[in-house]
Amino acid sequence: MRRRTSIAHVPILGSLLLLFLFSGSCLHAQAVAPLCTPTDYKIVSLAIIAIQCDEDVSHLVGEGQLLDPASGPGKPFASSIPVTPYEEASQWLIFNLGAGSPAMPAGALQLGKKYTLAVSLHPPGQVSPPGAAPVTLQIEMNNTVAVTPAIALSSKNTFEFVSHFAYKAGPGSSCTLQVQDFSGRAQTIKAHDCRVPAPVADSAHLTVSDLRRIAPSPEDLGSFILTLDNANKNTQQIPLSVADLVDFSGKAVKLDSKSQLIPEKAPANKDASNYYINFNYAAGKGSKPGWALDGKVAPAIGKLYHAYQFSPSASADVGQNQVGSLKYTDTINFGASLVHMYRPSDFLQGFLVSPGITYETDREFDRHNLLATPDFRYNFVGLYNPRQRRSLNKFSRELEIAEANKIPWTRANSKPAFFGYVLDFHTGFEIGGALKDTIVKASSGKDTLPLPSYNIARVVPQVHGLLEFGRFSVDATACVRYLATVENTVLERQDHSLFLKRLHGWNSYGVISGSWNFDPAGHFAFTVSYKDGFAPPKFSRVNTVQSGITLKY
Amino acid sequence: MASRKRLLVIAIAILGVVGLLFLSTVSRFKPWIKQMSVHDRVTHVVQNWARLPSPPTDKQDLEVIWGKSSGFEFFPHAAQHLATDLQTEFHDSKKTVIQFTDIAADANPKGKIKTVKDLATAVRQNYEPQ
Repeated sequence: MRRRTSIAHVPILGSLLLLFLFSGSCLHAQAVAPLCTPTDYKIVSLAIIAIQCDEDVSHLVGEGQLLDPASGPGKPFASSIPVTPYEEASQWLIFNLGAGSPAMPAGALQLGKKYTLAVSLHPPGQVSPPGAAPVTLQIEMNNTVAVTPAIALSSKNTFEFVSHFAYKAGPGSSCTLQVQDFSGRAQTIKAHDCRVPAPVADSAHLTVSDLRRIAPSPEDLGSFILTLDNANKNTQQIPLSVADLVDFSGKAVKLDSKSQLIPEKAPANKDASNYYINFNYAAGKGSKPGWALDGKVAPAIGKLYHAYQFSPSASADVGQNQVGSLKYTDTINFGASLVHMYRPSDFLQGFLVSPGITYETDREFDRHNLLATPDFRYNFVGLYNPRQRRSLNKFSRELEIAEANKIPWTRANSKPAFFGYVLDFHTGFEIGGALKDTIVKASSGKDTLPLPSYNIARVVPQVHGLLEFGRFSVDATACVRYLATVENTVLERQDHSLFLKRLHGWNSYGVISGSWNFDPAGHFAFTVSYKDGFAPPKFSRVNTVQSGITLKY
Repeated sequence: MASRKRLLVIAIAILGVVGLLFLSTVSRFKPWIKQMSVHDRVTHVVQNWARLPSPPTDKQDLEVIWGKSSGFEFFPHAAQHLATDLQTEFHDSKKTVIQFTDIAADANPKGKIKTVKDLATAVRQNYEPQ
């Protein structure tokens, strides 16, 4: 009975859905995007104002009115003021009082007053559609300056002094800043690289073409930038004044009392880092507890050099105390590489080139191999889709819909994608040799054996894959190492006696790990790994299952 | 007579090629190139970097923009590309206009540059033409 009722409702629901969709499309059609949403303005003289819009307005012209906000739209101070695009800056318009209003001489704007600008915009040769509301903007004729730290953390101790008023002049390359701490004690601090990028020296005779020549970037108008000589770390200080910094009318500027020289929040010299530590602990009946450490540190150091990034690295995959028949990997590497990702084509979207050198040894430090290790990674189209990228893509689509419907939407609102995957391929080479003959000692007992030096020429193709399901992920790496030259190694038998082995040809090594992330960002995880194969420099057989905690940054 | 004419034509052609080569090395063709604001130049660099069909808006998140077309990680590799592209565009700057570590990412939370507008502001603050 219930089922029959619900079937009977289908046509009604369908009609309602159609009506909803139709009304939605009508509403969408009615919601015309504004031609200009004002976001900022710069007063360049008593006759010229530059207005910034959120949109590209480079194809628009218009007429404006200057209104008194107190008396309202009834009686404008000036009307039919020409509004032209700021040709160098697609989001800016120029409002030129001097040019369009013969009744009002240049210099109509008065310092200290507030005005409302109303602008009607349209493409050249057309008129504004009837009934279209003009764009309005409140402007204040005062030269208050807000102080903000430079947005790039690498620009240490740099501050920008931003005003709606263009500056006439600055103090020169070296300058002093008067500051006051919270106890009211005034102090002078020195700064360098002080500059006004777009000074308006003669505002009384300034034309629009002069303005565009002086300031191709209108954001530079009313901008003063300085870098403090010493880091301002001890106290929060309120800037009071900058000597010789004057606005276009020649008056000293007034610093906003809310502005502060906020100390840096993050160390600027700590470069991007890549840390990975996986600690495993194992215990078995009749044997000592064992541990295994698989860690890697590879921070990016310094600036880019011809687009290549220098990265020193240290990695260790070692274990202590054998539990049962488990045999741990025993590899320690120190090295450095230069890394650059090329973008060859739409099919091969990423080609990571990382030439490097590596010192390869083991936990006993009885191997001393020095290798040139060029590595090439290939990212083919469609094979890089981790959860993070899929989540960003999903958010991007949701944002478009939300913006069309004027719904505020942030990444916090968007549910991350559940599934993700990555598949990439490597080709590596390991070319070099064992630096010297060494004596290898057995892990137990007194047996020793000399290990003669040898040359190394290995080719290392590798496949890496990652599957993500929510917080669970499976990561697998398979590599086959071809030894083109004969390499020596000393191995240990069960009875701790040693023997020399000569290696040549293919040696495979694979790792598969399952992880459960404790946190959404994936910094901490419980990991179970299975390792099987032959890993350099010892090339002893590895066959282990390890479980432990992974820390990844 | 004909061979002299031919020689003259060849000489003019060689001079023309040499002249063009000389101009290409010493001149930036500034008088013929329309000046653009730092903001618009940054927007164009981001558009080319992310291979977008139209310029991005100020509010768009760089990591989200990259997520649409990426074939590899945003940080550090794509961020390094962006920093290099910007340095090429603003090659006449006294200072480095941006370092890739300034760009915020899930993998680099200490970076402060998130949006196209942040990037344009950071470049403008550091750009000092020589």
